[in-house]
Amino acid sequence: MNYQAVRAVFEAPLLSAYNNLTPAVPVYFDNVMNDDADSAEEFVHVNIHFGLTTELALTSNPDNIRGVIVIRTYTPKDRGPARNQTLVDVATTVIQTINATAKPATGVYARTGPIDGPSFSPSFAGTTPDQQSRRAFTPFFISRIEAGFQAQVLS
Amino acid sequence: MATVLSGTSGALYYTPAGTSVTTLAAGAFPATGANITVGSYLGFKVNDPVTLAYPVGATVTNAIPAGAYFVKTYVPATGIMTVSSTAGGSAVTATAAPSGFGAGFASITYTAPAVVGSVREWSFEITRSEIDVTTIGQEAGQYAPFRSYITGFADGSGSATVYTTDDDTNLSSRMIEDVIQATQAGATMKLYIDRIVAAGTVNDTTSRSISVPVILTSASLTVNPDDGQSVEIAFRPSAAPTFDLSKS
Repeated sequence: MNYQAVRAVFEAPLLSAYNNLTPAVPVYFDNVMNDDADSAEEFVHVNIHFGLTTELALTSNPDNIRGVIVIRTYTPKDRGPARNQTLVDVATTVIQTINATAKPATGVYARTGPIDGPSFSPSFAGTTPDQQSRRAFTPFFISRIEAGFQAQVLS
Repeated sequence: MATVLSGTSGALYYTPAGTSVTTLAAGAFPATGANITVGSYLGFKVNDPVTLAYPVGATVTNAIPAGAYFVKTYVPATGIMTVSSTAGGSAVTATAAPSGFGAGFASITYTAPAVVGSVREWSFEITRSEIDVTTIGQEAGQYAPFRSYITGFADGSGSATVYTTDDDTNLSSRMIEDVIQATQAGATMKLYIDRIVAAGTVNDTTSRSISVPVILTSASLTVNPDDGQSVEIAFRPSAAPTFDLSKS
């Protein structure tokens, strides 16, 4: 098991992809402070959660790492979804690139399940809970995609 | 207060198919060199632990001694095996052939069942056929007459589901191949319901298990992107099981 290596499979290409944009878009990962949130007009949050990471067998518990990656893209509110969708497409492309990468002999082999989203918030379609939440009053239009993943740490 | 055993008390041990030769004549052993002619197209693999035994009364001076060995080489087409004292060690050689077998035979068999790793579950069922021996002419009383039965042949079936792992030395891979192994003699399942390990070794006195010679009848592989890969292997007893359901 190597959680850090699995995390890096997703975080490294996401960071590169958003850094390569002009202008670069800040990316914040788990336990990284969003110091620029009040001043940056757009940024990306990436959360990785591990779920079941082993299989229960009779005499051993073989590794079988599963988890979920959640990517939220923040762009200014009231300017339409285009910019946000452009940014979230970067993350989708990164995930699909990971999925298209063949299994190596060593390292980490990761594949995601189907990508769910993007879903957008706050929603202005009627009396949805979003309008009543604190998020409705943030200055950001937020999209969210998520995908379950499986990873194998190869030795 | 008694404690219900959980499934994790269990284990599956396996002796591979085609690893039991019990009819070796003296001529199968070398007068010089290391080549033992055990027979063609058996299931021996390099580094299999095997035990060589001679019949009572055999003369084995300067022959390959009886004892525990590892398969050094085995060529299925010729049926010639060499053995080593340690896994990967040099082949044990002889300067004389054994003799004095009389009506007996030497044997080379897989030393002991080995644990199959990553077994998700095993199941085993034993059944008896029933023979209807009802006779006619019974007088009806308060209740209708019952049919009469006696028991017939015993039978059984079992299966094991094993995760496929990146460890290619896993015996589960061997089990898959053994399904189509021409000679399955020697295939044995040791089904532990309660495996007790002491000092790194299974204590078969306190453990409880069912040992059964089997034929392997199918292997069903499941590969999909959602679940861990697994193989379901089906087997049937080829002889009566041995039950050791006592803790002492």
